[in-house]
Amino acid sequence: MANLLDIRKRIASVKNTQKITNAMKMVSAARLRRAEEAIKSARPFADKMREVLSSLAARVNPSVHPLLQVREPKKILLVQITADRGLCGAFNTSLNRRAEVFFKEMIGKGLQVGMINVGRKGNDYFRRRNVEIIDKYVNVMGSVSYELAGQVVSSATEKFISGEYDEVYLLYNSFRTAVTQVLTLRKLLPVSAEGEELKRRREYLYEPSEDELLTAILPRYVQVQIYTGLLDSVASEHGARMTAMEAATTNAEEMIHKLTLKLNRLRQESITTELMEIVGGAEALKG
Amino acid sequence: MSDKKFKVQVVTPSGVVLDREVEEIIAPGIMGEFGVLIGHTPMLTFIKPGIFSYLENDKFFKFAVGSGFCEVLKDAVSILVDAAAKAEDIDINEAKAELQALEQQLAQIDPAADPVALKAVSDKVKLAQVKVGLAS
Repeated sequence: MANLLDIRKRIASVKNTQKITNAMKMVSAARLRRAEEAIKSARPFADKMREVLSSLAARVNPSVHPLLQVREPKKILLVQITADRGLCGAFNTSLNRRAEVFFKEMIGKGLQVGMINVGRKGNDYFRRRNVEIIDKYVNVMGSVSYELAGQVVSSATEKFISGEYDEVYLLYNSFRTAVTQVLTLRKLLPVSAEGEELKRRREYLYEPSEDELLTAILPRYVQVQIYTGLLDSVASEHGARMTAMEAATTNAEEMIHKLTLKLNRLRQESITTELMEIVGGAEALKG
Repeated sequence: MSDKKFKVQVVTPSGVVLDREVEEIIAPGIMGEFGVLIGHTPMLTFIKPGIFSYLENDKFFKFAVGSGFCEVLKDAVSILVDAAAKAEDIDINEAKAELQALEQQLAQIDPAADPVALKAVSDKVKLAQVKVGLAS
């Protein structure tokens, strides 16, 4: 019976798929551990930076540094961090959808938009859409570094300082646990010290001057923000892929089970029919 | 001795490199090297690429650090730098190769066109020079 053969082939094929999804799950789990470590070791640096910056920013006049300058927004820049690869559930789609909503909102307010893409998936999505992509970094998520963050920062700050764009936002998946990622959208530029609690304000001796220190610290602060964003995104990606692949493996298992049942039922049915035919034939011969 | 000790932390974007109780530190500040003992006036300053050392149990330990800044409090010092390497961990050949590669990179940059990159790479070259100096 051709039908029996078909089902056997299906089972074999689902089993192969299951092997792949299972292997992908293992790989992601291993990478997740490393990525989680990386983000955890980067956080003290980022926290300390924020602390120092907020105590500085409170004492300095915002006009001293271009990165602090608040302008009437006309053009908005979005830095989006996605993954380079798919098969990680809704990871990329939810980012792209959020970005699109954001753009619509901004265009609705009569503003112009542009974007910088980090990660191939976001770039592929927006390449064919009506958004100006001013810079892209693809196939970089495998080796995220502080230097890479520096590159992204310099192309974003350049546009901001030149006055071409008046606000810069960052959109990425922030890592909470292996199974939860939080879609995060926040304003990157102009840097504002608002919201940063100033309870740890201290009196320092500043050497050289407050202004000069701020000038040096601000770009680093932005770089650290992007760097932790990148690390967050990588860890989230592996987490999302692990969950997605785990689900796929379970689904494959279920499918194999169902197909096996179906196969057995069909096989039994055909045996029964054959038996009936034989018995019927023998009866007829006895005549 | 223990009452003279204070906490020092060296933090880079890739993690906490050093977290110890020490007696004294000497750091490469932008306005020259400075030493810190316990009870120092709170201070915030730049660090330029150079040698950072700390005294623990009457012995000096050395680090090569990149640029960044330093926060000094009465009982704690935090040093935030782009990169840091412990003197004993530096491989002389590796450091030399790194320095060479970076010098080539530096030569290719047009100082007028890209001052930001020039600064970044020349900072790295300085760090590599310090590393070579420490290792040899």
